[in-house]
Amino acid sequence: MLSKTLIEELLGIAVSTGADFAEVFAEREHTNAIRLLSGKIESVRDTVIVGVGIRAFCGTKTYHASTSDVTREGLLACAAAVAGAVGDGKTEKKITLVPKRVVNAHPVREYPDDVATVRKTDILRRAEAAARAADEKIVQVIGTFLDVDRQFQVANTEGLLREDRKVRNRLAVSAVAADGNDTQTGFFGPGAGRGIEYFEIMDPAAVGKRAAEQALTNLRASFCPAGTMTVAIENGFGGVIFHEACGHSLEATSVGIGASQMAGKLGQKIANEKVTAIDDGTIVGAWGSYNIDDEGNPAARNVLIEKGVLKGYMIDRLGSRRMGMPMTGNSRREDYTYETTSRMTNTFIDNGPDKNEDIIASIEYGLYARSMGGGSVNPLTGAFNFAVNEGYLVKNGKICEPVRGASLIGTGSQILQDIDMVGQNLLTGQGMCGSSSGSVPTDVGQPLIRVRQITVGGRS
Amino acid sequence: MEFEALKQALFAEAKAKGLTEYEVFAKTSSDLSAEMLGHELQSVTSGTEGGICFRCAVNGRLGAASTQSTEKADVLALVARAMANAAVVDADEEPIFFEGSPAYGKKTREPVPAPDTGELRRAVADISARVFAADARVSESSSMGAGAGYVTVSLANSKGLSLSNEMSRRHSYVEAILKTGEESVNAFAVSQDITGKDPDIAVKAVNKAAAKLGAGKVKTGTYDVIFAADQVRALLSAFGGAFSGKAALEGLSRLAGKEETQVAVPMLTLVDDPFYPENPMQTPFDAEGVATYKKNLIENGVLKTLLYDLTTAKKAGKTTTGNASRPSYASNVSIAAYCMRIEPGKETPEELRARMKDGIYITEMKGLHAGANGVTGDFSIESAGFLVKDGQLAAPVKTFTVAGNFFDLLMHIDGIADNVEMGYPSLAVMAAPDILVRGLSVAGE
Repeated sequence: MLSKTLIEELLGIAVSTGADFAEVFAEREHTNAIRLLSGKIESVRDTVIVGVGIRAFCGTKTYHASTSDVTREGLLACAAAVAGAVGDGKTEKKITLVPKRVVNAHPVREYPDDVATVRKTDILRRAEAAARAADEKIVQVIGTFLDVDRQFQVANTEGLLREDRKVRNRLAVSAVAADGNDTQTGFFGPGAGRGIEYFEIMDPAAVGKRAAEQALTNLRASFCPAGTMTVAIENGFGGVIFHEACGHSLEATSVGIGASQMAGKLGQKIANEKVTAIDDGTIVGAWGSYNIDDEGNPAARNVLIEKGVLKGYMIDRLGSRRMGMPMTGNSRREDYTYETTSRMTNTFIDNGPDKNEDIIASIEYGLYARSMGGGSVNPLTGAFNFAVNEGYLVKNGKICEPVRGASLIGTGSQILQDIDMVGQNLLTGQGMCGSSSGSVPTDVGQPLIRVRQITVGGRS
Repeated sequence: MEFEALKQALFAEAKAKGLTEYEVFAKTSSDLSAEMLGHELQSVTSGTEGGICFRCAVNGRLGAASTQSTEKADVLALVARAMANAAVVDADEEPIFFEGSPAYGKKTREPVPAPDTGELRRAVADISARVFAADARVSESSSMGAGAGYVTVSLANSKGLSLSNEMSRRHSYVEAILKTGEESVNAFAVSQDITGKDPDIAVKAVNKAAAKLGAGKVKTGTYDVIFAADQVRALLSAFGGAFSGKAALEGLSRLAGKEETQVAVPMLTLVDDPFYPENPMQTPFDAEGVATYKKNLIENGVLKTLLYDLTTAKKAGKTTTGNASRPSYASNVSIAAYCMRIEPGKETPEELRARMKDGIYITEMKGLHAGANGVTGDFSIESAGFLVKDGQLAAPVKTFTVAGNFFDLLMHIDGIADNVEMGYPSLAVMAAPDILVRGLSVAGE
């Protein structure tokens, strides 16, 4: 990491031409991704990224330069690039940084680099064996074991200087089931912001089995009917519905420029009163948690919607300037090459008043989405889509035959009103979220919920 | 450290560790961009990034490690890390390091130096002015940008191979947002130069957005559909992985074992062309140093070849097609097309719509990363577009899904227009025209 005096020098250069604020972000991250295929360890991707991003503000104009050349010359050139882009003014500002220790709320017992690789390959092999054992129709299993050790330092002209380290790992299994000419897939990929000890509580065999069972279910499924229906969405990764339908529209990235359906709606009732939604970057050991965000602010628990009323947005420094509201500890970037912006952490719909069995029993004809895939949203209009990875028809209050190939579409403002039952088995699931500052780990979550009416894309 | 110095240091370290087969791959890039929000400059960004990857064979296994650090100790440590990683691998894939092709093709586009920041800012300011001049309903939330990138790739190995390539790209884009009363609509347009003038992306984005105002719903049912050229590119991007010979070997492609059989209607010819003149990111050699060349993937409906790198070709009993790919210095070698292009048909887009008579013209599809299954070919995608009535574009429609199967769709294409357009659906460069498909499932209201 960089010395305090060098950072002070870089900040001084960055603000020397008229900027009112500057920030230095230095990063070193080691990633290992081991891939298992056809029963063998196929490859190891082992990479270290090293670099620095320097940013300056003039009001709400931002100037950012990044470099992987972390020699003194490279960094001075990077700071000079920022200063040059800002303008040709001349101001001298003495920067004095005050280092502040960050308390680690996410203890790691076994750092990935301290663990013998054979431990990681063993986790993959156990997952694979369980997937293969599920049925002879499982013809291929692809497993990836990922571990990331990210260390960064952030400093700014307000005197802030902090360092943090975040470790995360994930086991992702894709299973392919085939029967004659028909091929179907299943996926399960749990992860955590913990050390390798996470796999003492997350059984790799259960991960492989779950992926295999999903592929086998899809193999015996017929195409999902198309149309508008009542849908029950299961907990865990089902929470992607809130993430896409609403979460992105609550980020300052879109709210701050008036390009969000949720702009200007604070205090208004935007959802059914059973809906309380929270973004919480402080959950111990969670995939989307951290101690401080990439601007150095502490992670926080932010209530976004309380009993249907919009309570808050997720706001970074630029968003704070644009919106005149405080920062919320949500500023994130994939790495130093991206300009940081407001992002979600662990975002979920909280437990509600309804019993899970009542939710299914209430559906005369509809869809039970047991497992969701990813999706996307247009924050301006709130139009969203996401894929159902494992679904079943519900008839007369009972879960019946599996259906494949469904997707759900709608608009955020509408679906928030249409979530009319909220269950009590809150669980989160892990994903990677893409936006203008790159791809970052986020948890999504919810209990079982019912959506009164939504368009189901299908084929029969 | 320059590439030559890094290479010498790593080669010496490899020899000292007793290695006989090894390779160094490096990629550096520099990027510059300026963006505006409405009438105001929003951000100016620049970046220089470089990284190096060392790969070696140890007891018949391949190991690799990469870093962005140029500190000597970090660079030299790549050799030990790669050797340790090779010891973990147990796949029976023999590493192959290539001595070089007898000849390499000639690029039809050479790189150009990046513009300076001032030039970029002037270009964006001009685009912004054109966006607001195009329509009084344009909102200050509209954004526009221009940028340029320059990439250098270097590859050297123990077989004496030593290659390098430089590429550049420029772009500009507009996201036009129109607000009228309660309704907001947005539309994008991108260009391959920083001015975005030919054609005018400002006018294009604003017109596209304006056409979406007042969009209605579609009744659930079965429709004939024309996918607009950019949506055909998106489909190719989502399902193009099926042409990978590696995916075929792994049981992850429905095209496995289908070479020399009919996989599409006879009117369809799909080409992979590394030297397509409109593609600025051309390379005469692939990520393993093999010469790249133009090839037909599908010729008059018949699958002619899948795509291969050296290792996969050997396993499959084929010859490499020069399609080894490493999107970043840190990537393992994978297989990818350079520029997939569907050859033009004979009808104009208007004639194609006239022949379809009634149906939907799809101009937007969202969430292909989730709603399209590259292995099975199934898709169910949020879409928007226009109704076509009696051959004419009619009312805009939105919030419906179109569902089908990509591989079945190839066999049911009923028309290919002559408007082949190039663009970037994601990282890949693709070129395609409008395509008519009959009888797809649509879910709306």
